[in-house]
Amino acid sequence: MQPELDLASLARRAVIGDDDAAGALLSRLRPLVLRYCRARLGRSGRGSYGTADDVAQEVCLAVLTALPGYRDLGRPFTAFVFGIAAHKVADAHRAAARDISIPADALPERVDEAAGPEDMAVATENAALAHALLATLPPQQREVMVLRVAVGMSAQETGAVLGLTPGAVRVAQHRALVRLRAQVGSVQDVPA
Amino acid sequence: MTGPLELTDVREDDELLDRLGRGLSLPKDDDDVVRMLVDWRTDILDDRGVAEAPEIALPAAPLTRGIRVRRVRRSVRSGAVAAGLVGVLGSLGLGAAAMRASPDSVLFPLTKVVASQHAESMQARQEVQAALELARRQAASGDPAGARTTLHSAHRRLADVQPEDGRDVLRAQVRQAQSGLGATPGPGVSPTAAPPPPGTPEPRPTPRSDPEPTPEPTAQPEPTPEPTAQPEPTPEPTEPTEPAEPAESPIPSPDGAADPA
Repeated sequence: MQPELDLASLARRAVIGDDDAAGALLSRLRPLVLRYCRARLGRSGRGSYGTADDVAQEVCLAVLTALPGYRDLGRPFTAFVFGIAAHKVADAHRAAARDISIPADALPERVDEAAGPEDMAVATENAALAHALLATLPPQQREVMVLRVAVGMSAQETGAVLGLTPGAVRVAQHRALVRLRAQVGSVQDVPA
Repeated sequence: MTGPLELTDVREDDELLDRLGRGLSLPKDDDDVVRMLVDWRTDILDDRGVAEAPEIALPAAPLTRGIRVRRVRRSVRSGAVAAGLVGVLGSLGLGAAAMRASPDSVLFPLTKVVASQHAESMQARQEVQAALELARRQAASGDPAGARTTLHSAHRRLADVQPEDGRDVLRAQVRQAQSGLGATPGPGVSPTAAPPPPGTPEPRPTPRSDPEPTPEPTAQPEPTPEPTAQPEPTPEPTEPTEPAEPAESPIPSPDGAADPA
């Protein structure tokens, strides 16, 4: 994770016309936003992260658009960025719901054991299953897990983004894991 | 799911997620959920190298994408993003700078986003200019064969330079240099004829009468030593290396702050 102070400082400099800062800000934000969007949206119907990557671009664009208003909000810069990202992802989910070419998330009934070259297939299946399972979590727990695991934030940084204390984050993530373990257990118990 | 909490479990899960988020090795190998989360994170990060990618990149169309409608929609969306980014950069005073940024500029990644074709053209132009310069040095140092090869590469790269980025000027310069090297007194002259006189820095590659024997081996039949309307072979037709210079006030007007969502 980029230290919050670095990103906020770059943002302030970018707003007053510092080109270097704008370039650096964009290049530092992009991988974080990309991870977030991929984690939230998963692979699209054809197996690529194309839709998620497009949304990540839109998020970066929206962040730059909204940058002049950032200082007035008095929030951590990462909260500002991921707040925008969450909106964009929600928009994409709504669009996906209207478009049959991007299937909505669905929890597989069981692990597909018929996959081909084994390690890769298992990893891909696991990733898809994890994505589907995470989508079943309550929004706050899901958001905590995405920021903690996919984006790589600490509990403190995650709390800053979501407006939670680090302790609340730890409780939420623990409950999320308990729920996920229960889900996996029930999925694996389904008779083939 | 909201039963009593065991502090030890909470702490263990916190450490687990800390390690997971940092990509460190994990103690709970037997946990199916952890295995899934590891694979999930790896899948997100490994696909096209998220961590290293320095720019906002449009992913290459995967082979599996077969639906025509989807492809069209995606390109429209990407185009809209790029167009929007131009507007945003403009509101920040960065648009013009990003559009003019040379490959050396810190803003060049933005140029590749907002104008990928133009960025490719700029890159190609810079390479052709560098090749011209190298060819001049090679010719001056008595390596006409090397100069020819360099010019041949430059000529091929010219196709990637867009007309508005000075392709015609560059083509004229390349041809001038080629005909300068290839200006032969006759086809049967020995290839070991005298190289161009050393020490002549040669600001312009006008056709010279140094007896280089072989005419350009690679399809340069048209003997146009003087390009039309291009008496000055300036190596930089339009100077792109000035990075910033906001065209307007660097501080955008308050109404420029769009709705984040």
